[in-house]
This record gives sequence, C-alpha cells and structure tokens, in this order.
Amino acid sequence: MSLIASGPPYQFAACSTNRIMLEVIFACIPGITITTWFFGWGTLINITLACVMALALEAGMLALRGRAPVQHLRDNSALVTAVLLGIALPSISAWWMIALATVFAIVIAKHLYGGLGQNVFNPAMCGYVFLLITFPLHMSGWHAPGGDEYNPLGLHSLYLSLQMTFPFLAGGAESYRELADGLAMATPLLDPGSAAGNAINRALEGNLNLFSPGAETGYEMISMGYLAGGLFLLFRNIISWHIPASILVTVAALAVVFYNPDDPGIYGTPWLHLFGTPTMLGAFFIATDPVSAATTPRGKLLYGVIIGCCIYSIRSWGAYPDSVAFAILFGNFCASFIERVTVPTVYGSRGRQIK
Amino acid sequence: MGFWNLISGGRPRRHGIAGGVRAASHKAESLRSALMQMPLPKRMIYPLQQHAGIWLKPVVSEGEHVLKGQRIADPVDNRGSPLHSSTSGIIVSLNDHDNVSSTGSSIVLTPDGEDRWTGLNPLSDYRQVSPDKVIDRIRSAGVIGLGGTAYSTAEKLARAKGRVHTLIINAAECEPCITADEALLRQEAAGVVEGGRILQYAIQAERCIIATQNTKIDATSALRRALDAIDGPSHNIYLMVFPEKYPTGGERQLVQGVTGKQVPGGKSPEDTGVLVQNTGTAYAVYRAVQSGEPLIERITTVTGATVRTPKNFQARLGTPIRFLLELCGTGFDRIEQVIHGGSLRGIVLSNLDTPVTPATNCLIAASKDEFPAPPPEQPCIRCGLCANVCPANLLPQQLHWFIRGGSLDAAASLGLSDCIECGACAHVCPSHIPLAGHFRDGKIDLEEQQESLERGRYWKQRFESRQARIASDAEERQRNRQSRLDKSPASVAKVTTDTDAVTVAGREISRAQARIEIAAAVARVKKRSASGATEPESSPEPGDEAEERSSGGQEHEP
Amino acid sequence: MLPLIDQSAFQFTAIAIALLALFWLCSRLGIIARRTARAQRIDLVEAVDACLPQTQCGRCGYPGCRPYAEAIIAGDAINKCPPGGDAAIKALAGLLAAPAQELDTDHGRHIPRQLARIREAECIGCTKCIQACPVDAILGAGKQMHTVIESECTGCDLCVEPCPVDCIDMVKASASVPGLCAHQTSLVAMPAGSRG
Repeated sequence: MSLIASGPPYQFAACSTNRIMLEVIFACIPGITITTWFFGWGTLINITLACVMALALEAGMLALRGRAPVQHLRDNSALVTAVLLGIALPSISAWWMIALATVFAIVIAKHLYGGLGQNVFNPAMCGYVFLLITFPLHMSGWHAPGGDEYNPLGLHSLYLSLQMTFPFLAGGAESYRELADGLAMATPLLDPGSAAGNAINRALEGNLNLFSPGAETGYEMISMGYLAGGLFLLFRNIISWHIPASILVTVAALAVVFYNPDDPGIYGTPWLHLFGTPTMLGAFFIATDPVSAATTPRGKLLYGVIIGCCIYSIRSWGAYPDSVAFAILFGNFCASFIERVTVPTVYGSRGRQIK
Repeated sequence: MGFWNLISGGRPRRHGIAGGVRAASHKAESLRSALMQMPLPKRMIYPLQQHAGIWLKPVVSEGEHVLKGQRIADPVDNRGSPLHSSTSGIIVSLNDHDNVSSTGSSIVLTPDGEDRWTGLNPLSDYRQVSPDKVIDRIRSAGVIGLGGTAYSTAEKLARAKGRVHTLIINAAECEPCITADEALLRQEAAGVVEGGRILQYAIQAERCIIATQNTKIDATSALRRALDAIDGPSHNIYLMVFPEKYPTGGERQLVQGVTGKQVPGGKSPEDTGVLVQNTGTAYAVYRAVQSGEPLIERITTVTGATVRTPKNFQARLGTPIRFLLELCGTGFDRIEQVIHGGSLRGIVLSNLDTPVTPATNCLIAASKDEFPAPPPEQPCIRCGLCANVCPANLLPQQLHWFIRGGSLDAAASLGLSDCIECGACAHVCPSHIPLAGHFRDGKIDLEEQQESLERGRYWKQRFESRQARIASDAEERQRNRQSRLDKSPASVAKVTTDTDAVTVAGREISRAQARIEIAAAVARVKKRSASGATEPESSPEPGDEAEERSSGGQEHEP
Repeated sequence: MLPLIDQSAFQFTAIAIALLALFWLCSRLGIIARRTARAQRIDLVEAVDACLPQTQCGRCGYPGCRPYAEAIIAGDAINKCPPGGDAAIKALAGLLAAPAQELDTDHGRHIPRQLARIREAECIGCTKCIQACPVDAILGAGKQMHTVIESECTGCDLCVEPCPVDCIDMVKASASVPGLCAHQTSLVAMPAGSRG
C-alpha cells in the first residue's frame, strides 16, 4: 500500500474547463441551426474554417510559448472563440477575412496577453471588431434571408456559399463581388438606425409567416435560439443570471424610454432591440465570457448595465453597423475597475474597511 | 420580527448561510449498519499531547495496573483536560517514540481483557447543584470538544458562562463521508438532548438550538421524538433543520444560520453571545454528568471503497487505527490512502498505528479510483464558481491571482485571513486549481511575514536602545573624564582643532603656551617612565590615554 | 407601448440617472485614488527601513539597517542585504519603483533565519560576543558562561568572529507548522500544498 501525500480536499465536483467550453458550444447549436435554416450554409462554413484555423494557431502559439499543446488544446477555449467568431462574421465572408479575424483573436487578443485566463478583451469580439474597422464594406453584407428563387438549404445555395468563401472557385474577385451584390443584405449584427436597419424595421411591421424558411423574421427566430441556449447555460450553472439579466433589462428599459410611438423607425421598438438584433447572442454568450467579464456579483450587474447602455447608445446614435461587439469590448475595459469598487463584504468583516 | 414571532409561536427563525456546495455525500454506506461496540485491541496508545502545545503529564507509573475510567494523566495547565484509561490493563510504557511521534510521547497500555470499571460517582440531579459544580464535573471527566478542535469543553463553558444567550448543538454534520453524529443521534437522541440541557444549564443560556440538516431524516425524527418527550411544557430547546449544504456545520456558518449574525474575524462565537458545541460533546457531557463516566470513547465512522462493511464504531480512545480498519474487513492491499476526517478537510495518515483521538470522527480507507488525484492544473478562467460557494464571501479567484503573483498584502486586504479553509473552492474549481492549498500556504506565509515584520520592529527597537545606551555610556565617560581633568588641570590638553585658541581644562590659552605646557607634560611622563615608576599618577581609562596621545601628537605636528 | 408621461421628461430622467451613476463610479474611484495617494505620503527612510529585515548584521557595509536605508535613499544599490534576500529586494523595488536586481553575493548569500548558539561548556566568559551583539541578545558576565537569548537573536552572526575559542554555532531557527497539532504533524504527511 502506498500512502500518497496530497492536501485536502480529495473529492472533486465533476466539472472541468473543457466541459464548460463544450457546453457553451453545445448551447450555440439552436442559434446556429436556425441561422442556417434561414440564411443557408455560410455560417456553418465560417465556423468550420474558423475552428480549423483557431486550433492550428492555438497549437502554434502554445508551442511558441513553451506549453504542452495537446494538454492545453483540450481546454476547448480556442473552439469557443472560433465558433463565436464564425457566428458573428457575415456568412458571405471570404476565407481570408475569417483567417485575419482568427489570427487577430487567437494570436493578438489571447496569447499576446498571456493566453487563456489572462486576456483583458474577449478574443472573438477583438477579431470581429478588427475586421469591422479595417474592412467595413465587407462586414456590412450578409446573405439575404432566402427568396423565391432559391432554397437556403439546397445544394445550389451550398455551392454559392462555398464560392463566397473561396472566391477563386468562382473565377476571381470580380465574380465574387457580383455574387455578393446579388445576395448581400445587412448583417444580423445590425443597427436599426442605418438604412439596412430600416428595411428590417419595415419588414417587421408587415404580416409575416414566422415558420417558413426565408421569412424576414429569421432574425427573431435566431434570437430565440440563442435565448434558449442561454437559458440552458443558466440552468447548467455555467453562467450566472446577473450579466444577461442586467444587459437585457437595461436595453429594454432604454428602448422603452426612447421609443417614439409616432415614428418607431427612429429608434426602433423594444422588441426589435431585444429580438431583432444580436442582443441575445451578446448577452448570453459573449458578455458572459468569464475571463474578460467582472466577477463580483454586484460587479456583474454594473457590468451588464454598462454594456446595455453602450449597446443602445452605439446602436441608436453611433455610426457603426454593429453595437454589441463595441459595447462588450468597452465593458471588458471597465471590468477591472468595476471589480475594485464592488468587492463583496467578507464574512465577519462588516464595517471593516477594505482597501 | 414581531410578525414572525406571532406566526411561529416564538420559535427561533432560520437564517441564510452564505455560499456552500452540495457535494456527493457518500454517507449512506456507513449508515447501513447499526452503531457498533468494538472488541479490545492488543494495546492502547494515549498520546500525551492533547493539542498543539497542550501537554499532559502521566500520573501512573510503568507496570501499574489501571482500571477502565481511571485517570492516567493530568494537564500541565488549565487548557488541557485529564486523560482516562479506556479499558483496564497494565501500563507497559510511558514513552513510545516509535509509534506516536518523534516530538510527542505517549502512555501505552496492554488491556487485561476484563474491562473493569473504576468507581464512578454520578451527579444524579444536576439542577440541585450550581452551574459551576456542573462545569467542574465536566472538567474532571476530561470532556473535550469532539468536533475536531479538541479544546477543553469545561474551559470553553467557563469562559462562555454569563456571556452567551444561545447554545447551538451542532448536529449539521455536513462533510462528505462522516456519519458519526448521525449514527449517534439515531440511537441516542435523548442523551444528546439531555446533554444539551445540561450544557444550557451550565452556561445559563436562554435557549438551546439543535441544528441539523434535512438529509438526516432518521436523526431529525429521533430528535423530534426526544424533544417531545421532555417533561414540562416550557423548555427553551428547539430543533432547526437546515438545507443540505457544505459547510453548514462550520462553527461560524452555524452562528450565521441560527442568529443571522456574523462572527467578526479573529473573534470567537462566544463574543457574539453564541456557544457552539458538537453533538458528540453534548452526549459525552450527558454521560459525564448522568453516569459519571469520563470521556473514554467517541463515535468514529470507518468507510471508504476498500472497507467491506463500512460502519460506525463506539471507538475507545487510544485504539490503533489499523485495528479499527481490520474490524471492518478492509482490503489493505487496495488502500491508496487513509484519510483522517472527511474527504474535503481531512488529512492523509502516514502511519496506521496512530491511535483514535477525540478528533477522529472519520477514517476513509480510500482506493485508487475513489478519490483520484485531480487532473493537471489549468489556467483560471475566472468563472466565479469558487466565489459562489465560498462561505466567507471571499473572491478566491482574486486571492489566487494575488498569491500566485506574490502580493500577499493585496490578498490580505481582500480577506485572506478570513478564509476558513473549507476547501469548497477547490472542490468546484473546473480548472482543478488547488485553491485551498494555495490559501493555506498563503495564510502561513502571511503569518510568517507579519511575524518577521514584528520581529524586525522589535530588533530595531533593541538595536536603537543599544545604540542609545552606548552613546550615553560614552557621554558619561566623557563627563567623568572631564571632572577628573578639572581636578588636575595642567596634566592634559584638549584641543579644539578649528580654532587657534586651545582649551585646557576649561581655560583658554594661546597655542604657543599650550605647546610649552604639553612639552613639559611629555617630558614629565618620559622622565617618569625612564625612572621606572610603575604606579601612574592618575590612571585614566585606556581609551582616554589613547585619545590624549593622539591629541598630543596632533599638537606636535605643526 | 405607449408612454405614460411626456416623452422628453422620461428621457431627461434616464439621462440624469445615467449621469448620477457615472458620478458615483467616479467618486468611488476618486476615493480609492486619494487613499492610495495618502498611503504614499510617508517618510521615505522609514519606509525603506521597514523593508529591511532589521538583523543589524552590517553585511551591507553599513553599521545597521537604518544607515543602509539612508544610503539607499542617497542612491546606493538595493541588493546588498543578504538576510532580506529576494523578498526585501522585491519590496524595495516596489517601493522605490526601481528594477528588482539579483542579490549582490559580494555581501553574502541569502540563508533562512538562523540563531546563534553558544557551546556553553567551552565558553571562557570573555564578553567579546556580548560587545559584538547589535541587539543585546547575549547574556553573561566576565569569567562567567554566556548564553544567547534565542527569542532576541537576529542571526546576524556578528558574534561568531570575535569569539576566541570558536564556541558559537549558527543553527537553523526551528520552523513550526501552524495549523496542525504537533503530533499530527509527525503522523501525517504534510499537506501537499501547492508550492511551486
């Protein structure tokens, strides 16, 4: 008998970083499925490409940093970044856009800050915003949500999507632009104040059949998908309710305050802000990234309020087609300050000054 | 509060307890069999160190025959409690360094198999005597806290008396694997309740609350029956059932749950008017008062995957742990580690011949797969699960950050010293970071750092006072010399080098005159040393002489 | 979704609340900043002296810790204190915002705290060590046996050199393991903490 020496505790909960990451990816499935249902293969192709590249880059960076790549790759954090990036990027993105975003996310936003657990900003949002700033034109196009002429899940659609991603298949950049013009529409990470946003607004006011593929209300269905996934994460105790709740309540409250019943087109309806936009995706999946979020209970609420305000402000008064990514990066920036002012009272130290 | 009293009929109300975790309890295994008496082992070992720094001195000699319940060692000071033999037999040695420890010594006894009691004198009606007498009885019975701290119960009671309004009997045994209190309550709930009443009488507490957990169904109903059976309608002893959570049974956590108040850091529950006593202690007090039996046994859970029939024993103190494991049919070849205590706070035993002590509430003979070593540590992703379960409301992820970075001060300002080392954070950590170990180390380092700071301040003070003393000594020497010089003014010259004027014994003279006088003095000295006169005219201290010489030399140079 | 009250009043309130929240946050940060600033307004020599271990061993080349602290303020290197070791260098570097250096081994190496112990049978009672001890930790009188008061000894080893019969040893200060009973410490394998 060998008496090994180890310190207490000896019994551990069946919970691991690898599993948490996998469950986050699992919770994305409803949203991704609905996106594919309405918009075709683009998002799936994005995700696949991003995953392959992210894993390769992660392994490379780990090797460069002198870590054991196999052990650290198993934490699946690169996969989560890749999946979120694949979801956020327009489904008509070319391969090099996906590659640039992944490199920026994994190499610069994650490993140059010290790897998993050390990054100040959410890597997926960094990659996304990098593209948004450098290639604004490419980032504001998106598959039109189907039409009478083609079925988004059909083979033809898959062929078109692959051509989008790999323009050389379609015979060069020019036909790529043609294809893009033929199919493009606003990104779902959209700003209702923009022209494209107004189109969505008008569509929302029309009489629509929710369940037919190709309906313009696809955005709402996607939001429902992410809401379902987020509730699953809440139920599994992987995220806490503080951040999503405070973001959603803040956005909804601001939308109610600024709602103009005479001309809903100006700021949009509260419903539009919650479900017609990527607010759900941001609130449940991206803002809750624990590494870059605030971690104290009161801090999480404050963090959510800040992000909610930013989402609404940038969306209503900003110039960018997307608000969620910028809002979350701003929230990440504030997180460490928020934590300093929201340290919970330690047991037995009520009234004692915490420095 | 008033409304609550109205609807509850004055029953105390349960409060929330911060944090906590629901861990797999592993309790059912050892509760399947009934509480068991145990046969006599071949020898008993009684360590003479009761607790850190608390020593006992034997009152028996080698070869002496002692009876069960006979006092065999007395405490050195009032922090300890007397030790009694747990069976009758012969003292074979008073010091057995091999089996207990290199630092401690012990009494070793060989049982004679008769298990004959010494004479006992019970206190038949404790309400007839004063509370102090009851405490004395508890002291002489050697009752010590069976919850793991092993402090003298009588001492604790004496300190708590008059200051405490609420007595809590801690039956919320929350750590996985341990069922000692639950097994005791199933069988002896009435004794525990009576023990609680005795304790309540001894410290004159207004109310007594027995705190248990909702998973202990049999124990709770046994307690209910025992409480209903108490004579007289108005007694202030209540049952409070908490939801299952670890570490509800922590002293500070129970105080929070029962009274809603928090025990300030560095203070004890008694300072907030609450005394917490363990179930086993209450029962031992009952036995000590009602039948006069000293503390010679405790309930110990023996469990673990290598144990064929896990069960609870009425284990005599001093029984070798190996003997207990053998009784349960343990497969010794499959044992990976034997844990003393529960699976979240216990310590791994390195020697199975150590005896059962009052702190031995549980022994887990674990196999390899039962408590596998955690997978390799991964980076912290700040998921906050640890902060959710922390009963002290700390932010373990931040503390970990600061301790890893060597910023003990920052960790201390976030409350590192308030960590109760319950291990809940490490239990839930998805990155398998040994947080509890880090905090233990961090607390030790912090204490060392504070100690060395204090030491440094003390040394500095000593150094400065020495410097001051040396300076004042020198000054005094100087003064003495000065007074001597005043008596013999012409003998020596003191020079103030900056000026042309020279001071000789207080009177100012010109340089030239000084030179003449010095030359005369030197000539006198020379003449005397040449003539061989040994006795000096006025022997100054050697240092002074040297100074004189050097000042004289300086004077000669120009 | 009809507003109950006038739209602009509603919006005004929202903006006012946002501004108040911002003000609160800024004021909290301000309090922290002020507290930090106050903490920094201290006597620099005292602060440097507090980082030093106060062994008064003089290995840095100065007669005691405070003179070295004054020398550091005057510009001397911060890595001349072997008893303080890396911890002291780190503390000084943090305090003075200077780069942390390796310990200058010309002044000796860092060893854990030691205590002087006199082999009393060999002591001739010369009082030389008593005069050398910077903190009066040695007890004795001329022609009488001397002994070191362990609780006072800084482990500076200044008493070793003057001893004419070499009867002073430097021994390791005994370390205790807090948190475990002494008998548990020996029974039990040390909790594998997590060092390293």
